[in-house]
Amino acid sequence: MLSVKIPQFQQSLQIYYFENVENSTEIRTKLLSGQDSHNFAFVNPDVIFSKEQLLSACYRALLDYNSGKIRTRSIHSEIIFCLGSSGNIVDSLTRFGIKEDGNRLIILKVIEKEEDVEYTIDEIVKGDNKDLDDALLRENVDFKQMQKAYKFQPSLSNSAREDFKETDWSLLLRKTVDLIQLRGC
Amino acid sequence: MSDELIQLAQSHLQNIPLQVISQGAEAIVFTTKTHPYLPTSKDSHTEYIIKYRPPKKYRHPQLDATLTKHRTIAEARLLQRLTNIPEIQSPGLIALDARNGIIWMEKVGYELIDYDDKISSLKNWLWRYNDNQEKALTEEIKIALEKVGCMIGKAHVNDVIHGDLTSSNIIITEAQEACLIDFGLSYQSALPEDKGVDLYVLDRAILSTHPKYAEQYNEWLMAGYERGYGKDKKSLIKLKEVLKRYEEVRLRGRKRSMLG
Repeated sequence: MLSVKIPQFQQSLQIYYFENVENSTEIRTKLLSGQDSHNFAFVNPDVIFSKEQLLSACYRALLDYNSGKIRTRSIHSEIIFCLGSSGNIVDSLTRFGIKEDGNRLIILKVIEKEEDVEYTIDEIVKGDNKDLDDALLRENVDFKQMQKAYKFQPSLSNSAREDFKETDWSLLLRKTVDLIQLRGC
Repeated sequence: MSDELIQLAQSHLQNIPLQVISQGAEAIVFTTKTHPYLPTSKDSHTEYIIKYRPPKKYRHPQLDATLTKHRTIAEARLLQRLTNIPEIQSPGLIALDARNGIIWMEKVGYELIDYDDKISSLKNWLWRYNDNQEKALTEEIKIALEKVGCMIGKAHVNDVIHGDLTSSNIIITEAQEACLIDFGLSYQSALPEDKGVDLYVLDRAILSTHPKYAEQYNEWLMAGYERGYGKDKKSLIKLKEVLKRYEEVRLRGRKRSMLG
């Protein structure tokens, strides 16, 4: 688990990364039926290649949340919406939210106050809890899905992940952060 | 007056230590060692820039809010545009709070240890040698100025007009590369007129900030500028148009008409 405090805001974040997830379908069904026990942001790791990308979206979501300007129902859905570059909420939730057949999962929880932590992650996800690590994310990111989600110019679909050098990754990160921060502007 | 603005900035940036580095009519610029959202280690020396456009009391509040938001977004957009032109070095955008007029970006440049630890803007970088003609006109400086010119040329090829090209708004990095900053007056335009005026502003800025060597400096900058257009035929035609217009602008001054 990665615990992050964003200095400007009173809330803090807890972030988990799971592999070999067995119950994605179940999580998704419970999430869609609006169960209180599933008040998390369940993110599809296929379109995430860096912690900075995740946190950049969290920053934007918390900024909008704390100024009463969120466009979705909760802070957790807002984080998923903020990961995208489009103003279409359904579109972003589909691309960045949990996939029914996914076997990897990133889970974020926004904690309003430290003492309010009242959940056990293992009761929700059945899988292997791993450290969230950029190398691991990069190894598994899906460029085709990334391209569909962010519409990079030039297109990512023609690049191979294996050929990506450090400079390519950092340029991709800069482009992604630009898109996240400037969505809707 | 300034204290009041800093307090206002601080109210939007809670728990972020702020240090003022520059204040203009439009915005106030801070540095901080705290990243807005990445965990920072205590002994990290990386700094970040926060540009804050405070509300202007002389404007109608609603109009003020709209203007501030739009200008902040326009500047952030330009940073985004420059990310997509990798040949042009520019600070990366980190975070944007357009409603409050705040942009977070990377800090570029370093402190000149042989010049009172001042920031390595082209101005300070050149001024170090102002009293020493031999040092002021070395090959090192020639190469740097050509790089600066080349980068401006590349911006113009891509129809990016900086709008405020002074030697303070150009940074020389530790690797002796040129980097542009402050896009508060920047915009996109393909007109030779706008590019000509951009060059004229630079020419004047060099003349007033570095009068002793202005002629030589401007010559090097222009040599680099022409190189920035590359060898492509279409670009060379564009270059010719811009240079022609630049000569016209030089004769008449920055404003096209005599009115206002």
